Amino acid sequence: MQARAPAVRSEFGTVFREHFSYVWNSLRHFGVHASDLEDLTHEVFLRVHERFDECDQSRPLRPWLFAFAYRVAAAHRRLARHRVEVIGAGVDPVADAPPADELLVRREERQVALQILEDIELDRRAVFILHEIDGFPIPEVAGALRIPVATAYSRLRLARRDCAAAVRRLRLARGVR
Amino acid sequence: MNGPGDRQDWLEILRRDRETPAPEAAMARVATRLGIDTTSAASLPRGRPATAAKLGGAHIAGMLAAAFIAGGATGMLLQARLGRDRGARIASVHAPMPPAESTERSGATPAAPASPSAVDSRPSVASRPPPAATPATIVAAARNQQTQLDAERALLDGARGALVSGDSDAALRALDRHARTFRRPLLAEEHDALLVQALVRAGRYDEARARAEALRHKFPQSLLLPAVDAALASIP
Repeated sequence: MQARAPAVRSEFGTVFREHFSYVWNSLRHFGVHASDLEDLTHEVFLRVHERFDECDQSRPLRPWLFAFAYRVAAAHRRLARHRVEVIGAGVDPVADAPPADELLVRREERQVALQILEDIELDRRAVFILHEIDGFPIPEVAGALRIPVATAYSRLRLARRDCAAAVRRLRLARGVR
Repeated sequence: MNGPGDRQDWLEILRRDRETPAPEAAMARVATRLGIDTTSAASLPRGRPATAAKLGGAHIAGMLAAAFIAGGATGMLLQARLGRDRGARIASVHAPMPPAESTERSGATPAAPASPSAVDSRPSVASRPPPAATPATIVAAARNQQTQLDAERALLDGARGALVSGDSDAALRALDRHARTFRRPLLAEEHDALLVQALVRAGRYDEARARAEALRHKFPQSLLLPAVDAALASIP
Protein backbone atom coordinates (compact mmCIF):
# COMPACT_ATOMS: atom_id res chain seq x y z
CA MET A 1 0.00 0.00 0.00
CA GLN A 2 1.35 3.36 -0.92
CA ALA A 3 -0.20 6.78 -0.72
CA ARG A 4 -3.64 7.00 0.77
CA ALA A 5 -5.97 9.73 -0.57
CA PRO A 6 -7.61 8.96 -3.96
CA ALA A 7 -5.74 5.73 -4.48
CA VAL A 8 -7.19 4.24 -1.31
CA ARG A 9 -10.18 2.62 -2.91
CA SER A 10 -8.31 0.87 -5.67
CA GLU A 11 -5.66 -0.19 -3.16
CA PHE A 12 -8.32 -1.72 -1.00
CA GLY A 13 -9.45 -3.81 -3.95
CA THR A 14 -5.90 -4.99 -4.46
CA VAL A 15 -5.50 -5.89 -0.80
CA PHE A 16 -8.80 -7.74 -0.94
CA ARG A 17 -7.79 -9.80 -3.95
CA GLU A 18 -4.29 -10.58 -2.74
CA HIS A 19 -5.13 -11.38 0.85
CA PHE A 20 -8.63 -12.82 0.74
CA SER A 21 -7.34 -16.36 1.17
CA TYR A 22 -5.04 -15.31 4.00
CA VAL A 23 -7.95 -13.78 5.93
CA TRP A 24 -10.17 -16.75 5.08
CA ASN A 25 -7.58 -19.23 6.33
CA SER A 26 -6.87 -17.18 9.44
CA LEU A 27 -10.55 -17.29 10.36
CA ARG A 28 -10.59 -21.00 9.63
CA HIS A 29 -7.59 -21.53 11.90
CA PHE A 30 -9.43 -19.68 14.63
CA GLY A 31 -12.08 -22.38 14.41
CA VAL A 32 -14.77 -20.44 12.56
CA HIS A 33 -17.40 -22.81 11.20
CA ALA A 34 -17.24 -23.38 7.44
CA SER A 35 -20.76 -22.03 7.02
CA ASP A 36 -19.77 -18.76 8.71
CA LEU A 37 -16.48 -18.18 6.91
CA GLU A 38 -17.94 -16.13 4.11
CA ASP A 39 -19.91 -13.77 6.34
CA LEU A 40 -17.03 -13.28 8.74
CA THR A 41 -14.52 -12.69 5.95
CA HIS A 42 -16.91 -10.05 4.69
CA GLU A 43 -17.01 -8.57 8.18
CA VAL A 44 -13.22 -8.52 8.41
CA PHE A 45 -12.86 -6.63 5.15
CA LEU A 46 -15.55 -4.17 6.15
CA ARG A 47 -13.54 -3.37 9.25
CA VAL A 48 -10.32 -3.28 7.27
CA HIS A 49 -11.87 -0.75 4.96
CA GLU A 50 -13.05 1.38 7.85
CA ARG A 51 -9.50 1.54 9.22
CA PHE A 52 -7.65 1.42 5.94
CA ASP A 53 -6.18 4.87 6.41
CA GLU A 54 -4.60 3.76 9.68
CA CYS A 55 -2.52 1.02 8.11
CA ASP A 56 1.15 1.59 8.83
CA GLN A 57 2.86 1.24 5.48
CA SER A 58 6.23 0.72 7.11
CA ARG A 59 5.09 -2.60 8.54
CA PRO A 60 4.01 -5.88 6.93
CA LEU A 61 0.37 -6.01 5.93
CA ARG A 62 -0.49 -9.54 6.93
CA PRO A 63 -0.15 -9.14 10.73
CA TRP A 64 -2.38 -6.08 10.49
CA LEU A 65 -5.03 -8.04 8.58
CA PHE A 66 -4.59 -10.99 10.89
CA ALA A 67 -5.44 -8.80 13.88
CA PHE A 68 -8.81 -7.95 12.32
CA ALA A 69 -9.49 -11.62 11.71
CA TYR A 70 -8.53 -12.40 15.29
CA ARG A 71 -10.89 -9.80 16.74
CA VAL A 72 -13.80 -10.83 14.51
CA ALA A 73 -13.24 -14.52 15.31
CA ALA A 74 -12.95 -13.81 19.04
CA ALA A 75 -16.20 -11.83 19.04
CA HIS A 76 -17.88 -14.60 17.06
CA ARG A 77 -16.73 -17.28 19.50
CA ARG A 78 -17.98 -15.31 22.48
CA LEU A 79 -21.53 -15.85 21.27
CA ALA A 80 -22.40 -19.17 22.82
CA ARG A 81 -24.78 -20.02 20.04
CA HIS A 82 -21.99 -20.25 17.50
CA ARG A 83 -20.74 -23.72 17.02
CA VAL A 84 -17.02 -24.23 17.03
CA GLU A 85 -15.76 -26.51 14.35
CA VAL A 86 -12.72 -28.71 14.31
CA ILE A 87 -10.74 -26.46 12.07
CA GLY A 88 -10.14 -27.66 8.57
CA ALA A 89 -13.08 -30.01 8.43
CA GLY A 90 -14.67 -30.05 5.02
CA VAL A 91 -12.17 -27.82 3.34
CA ASP A 92 -9.91 -30.25 1.58
CA PRO A 93 -8.01 -28.71 -1.26
CA VAL A 94 -8.96 -30.29 -4.53
CA ALA A 95 -6.34 -28.82 -6.84
CA ASP A 96 -3.75 -31.23 -8.24
CA ALA A 97 -5.22 -34.06 -6.21
CA PRO A 98 -2.76 -36.87 -5.48
CA PRO A 99 -3.70 -40.56 -5.53
CA ALA A 100 -6.38 -41.63 -3.08
CA ASP A 101 -4.11 -43.43 -0.61
CA GLU A 102 -1.69 -40.54 -0.47
CA LEU A 103 -4.60 -38.18 -0.10
CA LEU A 104 -5.81 -40.14 2.90
CA VAL A 105 -2.42 -39.93 4.57
CA ARG A 106 -2.16 -36.23 3.87
CA ARG A 107 -5.65 -35.64 5.13
CA GLU A 108 -4.91 -37.49 8.34
CA GLU A 109 -1.70 -35.57 8.88
CA ARG A 110 -3.48 -32.34 8.26
CA GLN A 111 -6.25 -33.21 10.69
CA VAL A 112 -3.65 -33.98 13.34
CA ALA A 113 -1.93 -30.65 12.77
CA LEU A 114 -5.20 -28.75 12.86
CA GLN A 115 -6.28 -30.58 15.99
CA ILE A 116 -3.09 -29.48 17.74
CA LEU A 117 -3.80 -25.90 16.68
CA GLU A 118 -7.38 -26.15 17.88
CA ASP A 119 -6.16 -27.13 21.34
CA ILE A 120 -4.39 -23.80 21.80
CA GLU A 121 -6.42 -21.11 23.56
CA LEU A 122 -7.50 -18.40 21.12
CA ASP A 123 -5.38 -15.45 22.28
CA ARG A 124 -2.33 -17.67 22.52
CA ARG A 125 -3.13 -19.19 19.16
CA ALA A 126 -3.08 -15.75 17.55
CA VAL A 127 0.49 -15.19 18.73
CA PHE A 128 1.48 -18.75 17.84
CA ILE A 129 0.15 -18.56 14.29
CA LEU A 130 1.71 -15.20 13.52
CA HIS A 131 5.09 -16.13 14.99
CA GLU A 132 5.56 -19.87 14.58
CA ILE A 133 3.65 -20.44 11.36
CA ASP A 134 3.65 -17.11 9.53
CA GLY A 135 7.15 -16.32 10.74
CA PHE A 136 6.75 -12.76 12.01
CA PRO A 137 9.02 -11.62 14.87
CA ILE A 138 7.43 -11.23 18.26
CA PRO A 139 7.68 -7.41 18.37
CA GLU A 140 5.78 -7.32 15.07
CA VAL A 141 3.21 -9.73 16.45
CA ALA A 142 2.80 -7.67 19.61
CA GLY A 143 2.35 -4.49 17.60
CA ALA A 144 -0.29 -6.01 15.34
CA LEU A 145 -2.27 -7.51 18.20
CA ARG A 146 -1.77 -4.36 20.31
CA ILE A 147 -0.36 -6.19 23.27
CA PRO A 148 2.90 -5.61 25.17
CA VAL A 149 5.88 -7.54 23.87
CA ALA A 150 6.23 -9.33 27.21
CA THR A 151 2.60 -10.46 26.96
CA ALA A 152 3.24 -11.78 23.46
CA TYR A 153 6.21 -13.79 24.69
CA SER A 154 4.16 -15.10 27.58
CA ARG A 155 1.33 -16.16 25.27
CA LEU A 156 3.81 -17.83 22.95
CA ARG A 157 5.26 -19.80 25.85
CA LEU A 158 1.80 -20.88 26.96
CA ALA A 159 0.82 -21.75 23.39
CA ARG A 160 3.85 -24.00 23.10
CA ARG A 161 2.84 -25.64 26.36
CA ASP A 162 -0.69 -26.15 24.99
CA CYS A 163 0.86 -27.71 21.89
CA ALA A 164 3.01 -30.07 23.90
CA ALA A 165 -0.04 -31.16 25.89
CA ALA A 166 -2.04 -31.68 22.70
CA VAL A 167 0.76 -33.75 21.21
CA ARG A 168 0.93 -35.88 24.37
CA ARG A 169 -2.81 -36.49 24.21
CA LEU A 170 -2.60 -37.46 20.55
CA ARG A 171 0.28 -39.82 21.16
CA LEU A 172 -1.58 -41.45 24.04
CA ALA A 173 -4.72 -41.76 21.96
CA ARG A 174 -2.75 -43.51 19.21
CA GLY A 175 -0.63 -45.61 21.51
CA VAL A 176 2.58 -43.89 20.38
CA ARG A 177 5.20 -43.16 23.01
CA MET B 1 4.62 -37.49 9.90
CA ASN B 2 6.19 -40.41 11.76
CA GLY B 3 3.90 -40.13 14.73
CA PRO B 4 1.34 -37.64 15.80
CA GLY B 5 2.82 -34.32 16.63
CA ASP B 6 6.33 -34.35 15.22
CA ARG B 7 6.77 -30.64 15.62
CA GLN B 8 8.51 -29.64 12.42
CA ASP B 9 6.16 -31.81 10.42
CA TRP B 10 2.91 -30.42 11.67
CA LEU B 11 4.19 -26.87 11.62
CA GLU B 12 5.07 -27.35 7.98
CA ILE B 13 1.63 -28.82 7.31
CA LEU B 14 0.03 -25.80 8.94
CA ARG B 15 2.21 -23.45 6.88
CA ARG B 16 0.99 -25.13 3.73
CA ASP B 17 -2.58 -25.13 5.00
CA ARG B 18 -2.44 -21.38 5.52
CA GLU B 19 -1.72 -20.96 1.84
CA THR B 20 -4.77 -22.98 0.77
CA PRO B 21 -6.70 -20.89 -1.75
CA ALA B 22 -10.11 -19.82 -0.53
CA PRO B 23 -13.06 -20.88 -2.72
CA GLU B 24 -13.24 -18.56 -5.69
CA ALA B 25 -17.03 -18.45 -5.57
CA ALA B 26 -16.93 -17.25 -1.96
CA MET B 27 -14.40 -14.59 -2.86
CA ALA B 28 -16.58 -13.42 -5.73
CA ARG B 29 -19.64 -13.22 -3.50
CA VAL B 30 -17.84 -11.26 -0.79
CA ALA B 31 -16.37 -8.96 -3.44
CA THR B 32 -19.86 -8.32 -4.74
CA ARG B 33 -21.17 -7.58 -1.26
CA LEU B 34 -18.31 -5.14 -0.74
CA GLY B 35 -18.80 -3.59 -4.14
CA ILE B 36 -15.37 -4.58 -5.33
CA ASP B 37 -14.87 -5.09 -9.04
CA THR B 38 -12.73 -8.20 -9.19
CA THR B 39 -11.93 -7.62 -12.84
CA SER B 40 -10.21 -4.29 -12.35
CA ALA B 41 -8.38 -2.31 -9.72
CA ALA B 42 -11.40 -0.08 -9.14
CA SER B 43 -13.33 -0.72 -6.00
CA LEU B 44 -16.04 0.94 -4.04
CA PRO B 45 -16.26 -0.75 -0.67
CA ARG B 46 -19.75 -0.55 0.60
CA GLY B 47 -20.99 -0.25 4.12
CA ARG B 48 -22.38 -2.74 6.52
CA PRO B 49 -25.13 -5.07 5.35
CA ALA B 50 -28.00 -2.81 6.31
CA THR B 51 -26.51 0.08 4.42
CA ALA B 52 -25.79 -2.11 1.46
CA ALA B 53 -29.36 -3.31 1.25
CA LYS B 54 -30.63 0.23 1.53
CA LEU B 55 -28.69 1.12 -1.57
CA GLY B 56 -30.93 -1.29 -3.44
CA GLY B 57 -28.36 -3.01 -5.63
CA ALA B 58 -29.52 -6.42 -6.72
CA HIS B 59 -26.30 -8.08 -5.70
CA ILE B 60 -25.42 -6.05 -2.65
CA ALA B 61 -27.47 -7.59 0.10
CA GLY B 62 -26.68 -11.09 1.20
CA MET B 63 -28.43 -13.22 3.73
CA LEU B 64 -26.86 -11.34 6.60
CA ALA B 65 -28.16 -8.07 5.29
CA ALA B 66 -31.60 -9.51 4.81
CA ALA B 67 -31.72 -10.79 8.36
CA PHE B 68 -30.44 -7.47 9.64
CA ILE B 69 -33.08 -5.54 7.75
CA ALA B 70 -35.78 -7.87 8.99
CA GLY B 71 -34.70 -7.14 12.55
CA GLY B 72 -34.87 -3.40 12.05
CA ALA B 73 -38.15 -3.51 10.25
CA THR B 74 -39.63 -5.61 13.02
CA GLY B 75 -39.33 -2.67 15.36
CA MET B 76 -41.08 -0.38 12.91
CA LEU B 77 -43.89 -2.84 12.29
CA LEU B 78 -44.22 -3.46 15.98
CA GLN B 79 -44.76 0.22 16.59
CA ALA B 80 -47.23 0.50 13.73
CA ARG B 81 -49.15 -2.56 14.83
CA LEU B 82 -49.41 -1.51 18.44
CA GLY B 83 -50.90 1.72 17.22
CA ARG B 84 -53.33 -0.10 14.92
CA ASP B 85 -54.43 -2.48 17.60
CA ARG B 86 -55.42 0.14 20.14
CA GLY B 87 -58.98 0.21 18.84
CA ALA B 88 -59.24 -3.54 18.95
CA ARG B 89 -58.05 -3.59 22.52
CA ILE B 90 -60.79 -1.21 23.57
CA ALA B 91 -63.41 -3.24 21.63
CA SER B 92 -62.30 -6.39 23.35
CA VAL B 93 -63.52 -5.23 26.73
CA HIS B 94 -67.07 -5.95 25.55
CA ALA B 95 -66.43 -9.61 26.24
CA PRO B 96 -63.95 -11.67 28.17
CA MET B 97 -60.59 -12.09 26.49
CA PRO B 98 -60.55 -15.24 24.39
CA PRO B 99 -58.54 -18.06 25.86
CA ALA B 100 -54.89 -18.30 25.00
CA GLU B 101 -54.60 -20.11 21.72
CA SER B 102 -51.14 -21.35 22.18
CA THR B 103 -49.91 -24.85 22.62
CA GLU B 104 -47.26 -23.02 24.62
CA ARG B 105 -44.02 -24.83 24.97
CA SER B 106 -41.79 -21.92 25.71
CA GLY B 107 -43.16 -21.14 29.14
CA ALA B 108 -44.70 -17.82 28.18
CA THR B 109 -48.48 -17.48 28.28
CA PRO B 110 -49.47 -15.43 25.28
CA ALA B 111 -53.13 -14.60 24.85
CA ALA B 112 -54.84 -14.27 21.51
CA PRO B 113 -55.69 -10.74 20.45
CA ALA B 114 -59.32 -9.83 20.05
CA SER B 115 -60.21 -10.52 16.45
CA PRO B 116 -62.45 -8.08 14.58
CA SER B 117 -64.73 -10.91 13.43
CA ALA B 118 -65.29 -12.05 17.00
CA VAL B 119 -66.26 -8.53 17.99
CA ASP B 120 -68.64 -8.23 15.03
CA SER B 121 -70.48 -11.47 15.81
CA ARG B 122 -71.33 -10.44 19.32
CA PRO B 123 -74.76 -8.99 20.24
CA SER B 124 -75.10 -5.31 19.57
CA VAL B 125 -74.25 -2.83 22.24
CA ALA B 126 -77.96 -1.96 22.55
CA SER B 127 -78.85 -5.47 23.71
CA ARG B 128 -76.03 -5.70 26.16
CA PRO B 129 -75.29 -3.89 29.34
CA PRO B 130 -72.86 -1.06 29.00
CA PRO B 131 -69.33 -2.31 28.72
CA ALA B 132 -67.16 -2.20 31.78
CA ALA B 133 -64.35 -0.41 30.06
CA THR B 134 -62.49 0.44 33.15
CA PRO B 135 -58.86 1.50 32.99
CA ALA B 136 -57.97 -1.74 34.72
CA THR B 137 -59.50 -3.93 32.00
CA ILE B 138 -57.91 -1.89 29.25
CA VAL B 139 -54.54 -2.20 30.93
CA ALA B 140 -55.08 -5.95 31.39
CA ALA B 141 -55.96 -6.38 27.72
CA ALA B 142 -52.90 -4.40 26.69
CA ARG B 143 -50.75 -6.50 28.96
CA ASN B 144 -52.06 -9.70 27.42
CA GLN B 145 -51.26 -8.47 23.96
CA GLN B 146 -47.86 -7.25 25.04
CA THR B 147 -47.20 -10.70 26.52
CA GLN B 148 -47.96 -12.32 23.19
CA LEU B 149 -45.79 -9.81 21.39
CA ASP B 150 -42.94 -10.48 23.77
CA ALA B 151 -43.30 -14.24 23.37
CA GLU B 152 -43.48 -14.00 19.59
CA ARG B 153 -40.57 -11.65 19.42
CA ALA B 154 -38.45 -13.96 21.57
CA LEU B 155 -39.09 -16.86 19.20
CA LEU B 156 -38.43 -14.78 16.10
CA ASP B 157 -35.29 -13.28 17.61
CA GLY B 158 -34.08 -16.82 18.17
CA ALA B 159 -34.79 -17.66 14.57
CA ARG B 160 -33.04 -14.51 13.38
CA GLY B 161 -30.00 -15.21 15.52
CA ALA B 162 -29.76 -18.74 14.19
CA LEU B 163 -30.07 -17.43 10.66
CA VAL B 164 -27.31 -14.87 11.13
CA SER B 165 -25.05 -17.55 12.56
CA GLY B 166 -25.74 -19.75 9.56
CA ASP B 167 -27.78 -22.39 11.36
CA SER B 168 -30.78 -22.63 9.06
CA ASP B 169 -32.07 -25.80 10.74
CA ALA B 170 -32.32 -24.05 14.11
CA ALA B 171 -33.95 -21.07 12.44
CA LEU B 172 -36.55 -23.30 10.79
CA ARG B 173 -37.24 -25.05 14.08
CA ALA B 174 -37.83 -21.75 15.85
CA LEU B 175 -40.11 -20.55 13.05
CA ASP B 176 -42.06 -23.79 13.12
CA ARG B 177 -42.52 -23.43 16.84
CA HIS B 178 -43.74 -19.87 16.34
CA ALA B 179 -46.26 -21.03 13.72
CA ARG B 180 -47.56 -23.83 15.92
CA THR B 181 -47.71 -21.68 19.03
CA PHE B 182 -49.53 -18.70 17.56
CA ARG B 183 -52.36 -19.47 15.19
CA ARG B 184 -53.13 -15.76 14.88
CA PRO B 185 -49.71 -14.22 15.24
CA LEU B 186 -49.13 -10.52 15.62
CA LEU B 187 -45.81 -10.84 13.86
CA ALA B 188 -46.94 -12.90 10.88
CA GLU B 189 -45.05 -10.77 8.38
CA GLU B 190 -41.84 -11.09 10.29
CA HIS B 191 -42.33 -14.83 10.59
CA ASP B 192 -43.01 -15.27 6.89
CA ALA B 193 -40.06 -13.10 5.84
CA LEU B 194 -37.67 -14.97 8.11
CA LEU B 195 -39.05 -18.24 6.81
CA VAL B 196 -38.20 -17.30 3.24
CA GLN B 197 -34.66 -16.42 4.31
CA ALA B 198 -34.23 -19.62 6.29
CA LEU B 199 -35.51 -21.75 3.41
CA VAL B 200 -33.08 -20.07 1.02
CA ARG B 201 -30.26 -20.65 3.48
CA ALA B 202 -31.30 -24.31 3.78
CA GLY B 203 -31.24 -24.68 -0.01
CA ARG B 204 -34.99 -25.26 -0.22
CA TYR B 205 -35.36 -22.80 -3.05
CA ASP B 206 -38.74 -23.84 -4.43
CA GLU B 207 -40.38 -23.60 -1.04
CA ALA B 208 -38.70 -20.26 -0.47
CA ARG B 209 -40.06 -18.87 -3.72
CA ALA B 210 -43.55 -20.14 -2.95
CA ARG B 211 -43.48 -18.65 0.54
CA ALA B 212 -42.21 -15.37 -0.83
CA GLU B 213 -45.05 -15.22 -3.31
CA ALA B 214 -47.57 -15.91 -0.57
CA LEU B 215 -46.04 -13.17 1.57
CA ARG B 216 -46.17 -10.73 -1.35
CA HIS B 217 -49.83 -11.56 -1.93
CA LYS B 218 -50.76 -11.37 1.74
CA PHE B 219 -48.75 -8.27 2.59
CA PRO B 220 -48.25 -6.34 -0.67
CA GLN B 221 -47.06 -3.25 1.20
CA SER B 222 -44.76 -5.10 3.56
CA LEU B 223 -41.59 -3.32 4.56
CA LEU B 224 -39.92 -6.70 4.62
CA LEU B 225 -40.32 -7.37 0.90
CA PRO B 226 -36.90 -5.90 0.02
CA ALA B 227 -35.27 -8.29 2.48
CA VAL B 228 -37.24 -11.18 1.02
CA ASP B 229 -36.25 -10.16 -2.50
CA ALA B 230 -32.61 -9.94 -1.45
CA ALA B 231 -32.82 -13.46 -0.08
CA LEU B 232 -34.33 -14.74 -3.33
CA ALA B 233 -31.68 -12.89 -5.33
CA SER B 234 -29.00 -14.81 -3.48
CA ILE B 235 -30.29 -18.11 -4.85
CA PRO B 236 -27.60 -19.40 -7.19
